[in-house]
Amino acid sequence: MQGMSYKSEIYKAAAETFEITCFLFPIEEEEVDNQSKEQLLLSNMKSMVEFSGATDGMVILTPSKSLLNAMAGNMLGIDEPNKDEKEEALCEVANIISGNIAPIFSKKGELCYISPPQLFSNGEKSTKNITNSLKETVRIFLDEGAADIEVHYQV
Amino acid sequence: MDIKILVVDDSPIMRKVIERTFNICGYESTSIFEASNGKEGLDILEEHAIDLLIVDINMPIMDGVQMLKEVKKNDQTKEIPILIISAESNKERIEKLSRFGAIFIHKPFTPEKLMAKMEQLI
Repeated sequence: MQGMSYKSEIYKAAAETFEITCFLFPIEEEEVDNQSKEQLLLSNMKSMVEFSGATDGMVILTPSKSLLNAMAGNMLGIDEPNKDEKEEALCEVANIISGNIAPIFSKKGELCYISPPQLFSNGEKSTKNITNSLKETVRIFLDEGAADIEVHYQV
Repeated sequence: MDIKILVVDDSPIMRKVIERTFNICGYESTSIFEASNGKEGLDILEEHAIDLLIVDINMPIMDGVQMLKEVKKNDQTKEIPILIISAESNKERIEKLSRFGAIFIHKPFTPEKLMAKMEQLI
Protein backbone atom coordinates (compact mmCIF):
# COMPACT_ATOMS: atom_id res chain seq x y z
CA MET A 1 0.00 0.00 0.00
CA GLN A 2 1.49 3.37 -0.95
CA GLY A 3 0.74 7.08 -1.52
CA MET A 4 -2.94 7.64 -2.16
CA SER A 5 -3.90 4.36 -0.48
CA TYR A 6 -2.22 5.45 2.75
CA LYS A 7 -3.96 8.81 2.52
CA SER A 8 -7.34 7.21 2.01
CA GLU A 9 -6.79 4.81 4.97
CA ILE A 10 -5.73 7.73 7.19
CA TYR A 11 -8.78 9.74 6.10
CA LYS A 12 -11.08 6.79 6.74
CA ALA A 13 -9.72 6.21 10.26
CA ALA A 14 -9.99 9.91 11.12
CA ALA A 15 -13.49 10.32 9.65
CA GLU A 16 -14.81 7.31 11.56
CA THR A 17 -13.22 8.47 14.81
CA PHE A 18 -14.62 12.01 14.58
CA GLU A 19 -18.05 10.76 13.56
CA ILE A 20 -18.48 8.08 16.22
CA THR A 21 -16.55 9.63 19.11
CA CYS A 22 -17.33 13.33 18.66
CA PHE A 23 -20.50 13.35 16.51
CA LEU A 24 -18.68 15.49 13.93
CA PHE A 25 -19.39 14.67 10.32
CA PRO A 26 -17.03 14.85 7.34
CA ILE A 27 -17.87 17.31 4.56
CA GLU A 28 -16.21 18.14 1.24
CA GLU A 29 -13.88 21.15 1.10
CA GLU A 30 -16.28 22.79 -1.41
CA GLU A 31 -19.04 22.69 1.23
CA VAL A 32 -17.10 25.08 3.47
CA ASP A 33 -18.62 28.51 2.80
CA ASN A 34 -16.81 31.84 3.17
CA GLN A 35 -18.49 32.55 6.50
CA SER A 36 -17.10 29.34 7.90
CA LYS A 37 -13.52 29.89 6.69
CA GLU A 38 -12.42 31.11 10.13
CA GLN A 39 -13.44 27.70 11.48
CA LEU A 40 -10.45 26.36 9.57
CA LEU A 41 -7.80 28.35 11.46
CA LEU A 42 -5.58 25.75 13.07
CA SER A 43 -5.23 25.66 16.82
CA ASN A 44 -1.93 26.14 18.58
CA MET A 45 -2.51 22.83 20.34
CA LYS A 46 -1.42 19.49 18.86
CA SER A 47 -1.33 15.94 20.09
CA MET A 48 1.30 13.42 19.11
CA VAL A 49 1.17 9.64 19.45
CA GLU A 50 4.27 7.58 18.74
CA PHE A 51 4.16 4.02 17.54
CA SER A 52 6.93 1.44 17.52
CA GLY A 53 7.54 -2.26 17.10
CA ALA A 54 6.68 -3.47 13.64
CA THR A 55 7.44 0.01 12.37
CA ASP A 56 8.52 3.30 13.93
CA GLY A 57 6.43 6.37 13.45
CA MET A 58 4.16 8.99 14.90
CA VAL A 59 0.81 10.62 14.30
CA ILE A 60 0.33 14.35 14.91
CA LEU A 61 -3.23 15.68 15.10
CA THR A 62 -3.78 19.44 14.76
CA PRO A 63 -7.42 20.56 14.92
CA SER A 64 -8.78 23.99 14.05
CA LYS A 65 -9.74 26.13 17.05
CA SER A 66 -13.46 25.67 16.48
CA LEU A 67 -13.09 21.93 16.00
CA LEU A 68 -11.18 21.56 19.27
CA ASN A 69 -14.06 23.20 21.09
CA ALA A 70 -16.63 21.02 19.32
CA MET A 71 -14.65 17.80 19.95
CA ALA A 72 -14.64 18.27 23.72
CA GLY A 73 -18.12 19.80 23.87
CA ASN A 74 -19.73 16.98 21.90
CA MET A 75 -17.90 14.21 23.76
CA LEU A 76 -19.03 15.60 27.12
CA GLY A 77 -22.39 17.04 26.08
CA ILE A 78 -21.49 20.56 27.21
CA ASP A 79 -21.34 23.96 25.46
CA GLU A 80 -18.17 25.45 26.84
CA PRO A 81 -15.45 22.92 27.61
CA ASN A 82 -12.50 24.17 29.63
CA LYS A 83 -8.83 23.94 28.62
CA ASP A 84 -8.27 20.61 30.39
CA GLU A 85 -11.31 19.06 28.72
CA LYS A 86 -10.14 20.27 25.29
CA GLU A 87 -6.69 18.78 25.89
CA GLU A 88 -8.15 15.48 27.08
CA ALA A 89 -10.42 15.30 24.03
CA LEU A 90 -7.56 16.06 21.65
CA CYS A 91 -5.36 13.38 23.21
CA GLU A 92 -8.10 10.74 23.20
CA VAL A 93 -9.05 11.39 19.57
CA ALA A 94 -5.36 11.28 18.56
CA ASN A 95 -5.00 8.01 20.47
CA ILE A 96 -7.98 6.40 18.72
CA ILE A 97 -6.91 7.58 15.26
CA SER A 98 -3.37 6.28 15.89
CA GLY A 99 -4.63 2.91 17.07
CA ASN A 100 -6.47 2.54 13.80
CA ILE A 101 -3.68 3.91 11.60
CA ALA A 102 -0.55 2.24 13.00
CA PRO A 103 -1.37 -1.30 11.81
CA ILE A 104 -1.60 0.00 8.23
CA PHE A 105 2.15 0.63 8.34
CA SER A 106 3.18 -2.55 10.13
CA LYS A 107 4.41 -5.61 8.36
CA LYS A 108 2.14 -8.62 8.36
CA GLY A 109 1.82 -10.35 11.71
CA GLU A 110 4.09 -7.99 13.61
CA LEU A 111 2.94 -6.07 16.66
CA CYS A 112 2.74 -2.31 16.74
CA TYR A 113 2.84 -0.56 20.12
CA ILE A 114 1.14 2.77 20.65
CA SER A 115 2.56 5.22 23.22
CA PRO A 116 0.38 7.49 25.37
CA PRO A 117 -0.57 10.73 23.59
CA GLN A 118 1.49 13.85 24.29
CA LEU A 119 0.45 17.46 23.93
CA PHE A 120 2.63 20.09 22.36
CA SER A 121 2.13 23.50 20.84
CA ASN A 122 3.40 25.30 17.76
CA GLY A 123 7.10 26.00 18.02
CA GLU A 124 7.80 22.99 20.25
CA LYS A 125 9.65 20.11 18.65
CA SER A 126 8.25 16.63 18.89
CA THR A 127 10.54 14.19 20.72
CA LYS A 128 10.69 11.46 18.13
CA ASN A 129 13.41 11.56 15.53
CA ILE A 130 12.83 8.91 12.89
CA THR A 131 15.54 8.38 10.35
CA ASN A 132 14.56 7.65 6.75
CA SER A 133 10.96 8.48 7.52
CA LEU A 134 8.25 9.36 5.06
CA LYS A 135 5.33 11.64 5.77
CA GLU A 136 1.68 11.65 4.73
CA THR A 137 -0.52 14.64 5.57
CA VAL A 138 -4.29 14.46 5.34
CA ARG A 139 -6.69 17.33 5.95
CA ILE A 140 -10.21 16.45 6.96
CA PHE A 141 -13.09 18.95 6.77
CA LEU A 142 -15.88 18.46 9.28
CA ASP A 143 -19.14 20.26 9.96
CA GLU A 144 -17.53 22.30 12.76
CA GLY A 145 -13.98 22.83 11.54
CA ALA A 146 -11.03 20.96 10.12
CA ALA A 147 -8.02 18.96 11.25
CA ASP A 148 -4.63 18.02 9.86
CA ILE A 149 -3.38 14.50 10.45
CA GLU A 150 0.34 14.09 9.85
CA VAL A 151 1.73 10.58 9.84
CA HIS A 152 5.49 9.95 9.89
CA TYR A 153 6.51 6.38 9.24
CA GLN A 154 9.62 4.41 8.51
CA VAL A 155 10.09 2.44 5.33
CA MET B 1 -31.02 -2.00 36.91
CA ASP B 2 -28.82 -1.00 39.84
CA ILE B 3 -25.32 -2.14 39.00
CA LYS B 4 -21.82 -1.19 40.05
CA ILE B 5 -19.36 -0.62 37.23
CA LEU B 6 -15.65 0.04 37.50
CA VAL B 7 -14.14 1.98 34.57
CA VAL B 8 -10.34 1.78 34.37
CA ASP B 9 -8.91 4.14 31.76
CA ASP B 10 -6.07 6.69 31.91
CA SER B 11 -8.08 9.10 29.77
CA PRO B 12 -10.32 11.21 32.05
CA ILE B 13 -12.53 12.20 29.13
CA MET B 14 -13.09 8.58 28.10
CA ARG B 15 -14.18 7.73 31.66
CA LYS B 16 -16.66 10.62 31.49
CA VAL B 17 -17.88 9.53 28.03
CA ILE B 18 -18.55 6.00 29.29
CA GLU B 19 -20.40 7.31 32.35
CA ARG B 20 -22.43 9.66 30.14
CA THR B 21 -23.28 6.81 27.78
CA PHE B 22 -24.76 4.78 30.65
CA ASN B 23 -26.80 7.79 31.82
CA ILE B 24 -28.11 8.56 28.31
CA CYS B 25 -29.03 4.91 27.75
CA GLY B 26 -31.24 4.76 30.83
CA TYR B 27 -28.84 3.40 33.44
CA GLU B 28 -29.00 6.50 35.66
CA SER B 29 -29.03 4.42 38.83
CA THR B 30 -25.80 2.69 37.86
CA SER B 31 -22.89 3.46 40.20
CA ILE B 32 -19.74 4.18 38.24
CA PHE B 33 -16.37 3.89 39.98
CA GLU B 34 -13.32 5.31 38.19
CA ALA B 35 -9.63 4.45 38.16
CA SER B 36 -6.85 5.83 35.98
CA ASN B 37 -4.68 2.69 35.97
CA GLY B 38 -4.76 -0.99 36.87
CA LYS B 39 -3.31 -0.50 40.34
CA GLU B 40 -5.99 2.00 41.33
CA GLY B 41 -8.56 -0.34 39.81
CA LEU B 42 -7.41 -3.27 41.97
CA ASP B 43 -7.67 -1.08 45.07
CA ILE B 44 -11.30 -0.25 44.23
CA LEU B 45 -12.07 -3.93 43.59
CA GLU B 46 -10.88 -4.73 47.11
CA GLU B 47 -13.34 -2.26 48.62
CA HIS B 48 -16.46 -2.64 46.44
CA ALA B 49 -18.51 -5.50 45.02
CA ILE B 50 -18.25 -4.61 41.32
CA ASP B 51 -20.67 -6.15 38.78
CA LEU B 52 -18.84 -5.16 35.59
CA LEU B 53 -15.27 -4.19 34.84
CA ILE B 54 -14.53 -1.92 31.85
CA VAL B 55 -10.79 -1.74 31.16
CA ASP B 56 -8.47 -0.01 28.72
CA ILE B 57 -5.26 -1.81 27.69
CA ASN B 58 -2.55 0.83 27.43
CA MET B 59 -2.23 2.65 30.73
CA PRO B 60 0.71 3.88 32.82
CA ILE B 61 1.76 2.31 36.19
CA MET B 62 -0.22 -0.90 35.60
CA ASP B 63 -1.73 -1.68 32.20
CA GLY B 64 -4.96 -3.53 31.50
CA VAL B 65 -3.28 -6.90 30.82
CA GLN B 66 -1.43 -6.90 34.15
CA MET B 67 -4.56 -5.83 35.97
CA LEU B 68 -6.67 -8.60 34.42
CA LYS B 69 -4.05 -11.21 35.38
CA GLU B 70 -4.43 -10.07 39.01
CA VAL B 71 -8.23 -10.03 38.74
CA LYS B 72 -8.27 -13.61 37.45
CA LYS B 73 -5.89 -14.82 40.20
CA ASN B 74 -8.16 -13.57 42.96
CA ASP B 75 -11.14 -15.74 44.00
CA GLN B 76 -13.06 -12.62 45.02
CA THR B 77 -12.82 -11.01 41.57
CA LYS B 78 -12.22 -13.77 39.01
CA GLU B 79 -15.91 -14.10 38.08
CA ILE B 80 -16.49 -10.39 37.37
CA PRO B 81 -17.51 -9.88 33.71
CA ILE B 82 -14.94 -7.88 31.76
CA LEU B 83 -15.27 -5.49 28.82
CA ILE B 84 -12.03 -4.31 27.25
CA ILE B 85 -12.31 -1.01 25.38
CA SER B 86 -9.25 -0.06 23.41
CA ALA B 87 -7.96 1.40 20.15
CA GLU B 88 -5.72 -1.69 19.89
CA SER B 89 -5.98 -3.15 16.39
CA ASN B 90 -3.59 -6.06 16.52
CA LYS B 91 -5.58 -9.27 16.15
CA GLU B 92 -2.99 -11.45 17.90
CA ARG B 93 -2.98 -9.22 20.97
CA ILE B 94 -6.79 -9.07 21.01
CA GLU B 95 -6.96 -12.87 20.85
CA LYS B 96 -4.60 -13.12 23.82
CA LEU B 97 -6.85 -10.78 25.78
CA SER B 98 -9.93 -12.83 24.99
CA ARG B 99 -8.33 -15.65 27.04
CA PHE B 100 -9.34 -13.63 30.09
CA GLY B 101 -12.93 -14.34 29.09
CA ALA B 102 -13.33 -10.69 28.23
CA ILE B 103 -15.37 -9.13 25.45
CA PHE B 104 -13.42 -6.67 23.32
CA ILE B 105 -14.80 -3.36 22.02
CA HIS B 106 -12.68 -1.53 19.51
CA LYS B 107 -12.49 2.29 19.65
CA PRO B 108 -14.23 4.21 18.23
CA PHE B 109 -17.41 2.65 19.59
CA THR B 110 -21.05 3.71 19.47
CA PRO B 111 -23.26 3.90 22.59
CA GLU B 112 -25.41 1.14 21.06
CA LYS B 113 -22.43 -1.18 20.78
CA LEU B 114 -21.34 -0.54 24.37
CA MET B 115 -24.86 -1.22 25.65
CA ALA B 116 -25.25 -4.39 23.57
CA LYS B 117 -21.95 -5.84 24.80
CA MET B 118 -22.70 -4.85 28.39
CA GLU B 119 -26.12 -6.52 28.26
CA GLN B 120 -24.45 -9.66 26.90
CA LEU B 121 -22.38 -9.82 30.06
CA ILE B 122 -24.77 -8.93 32.90
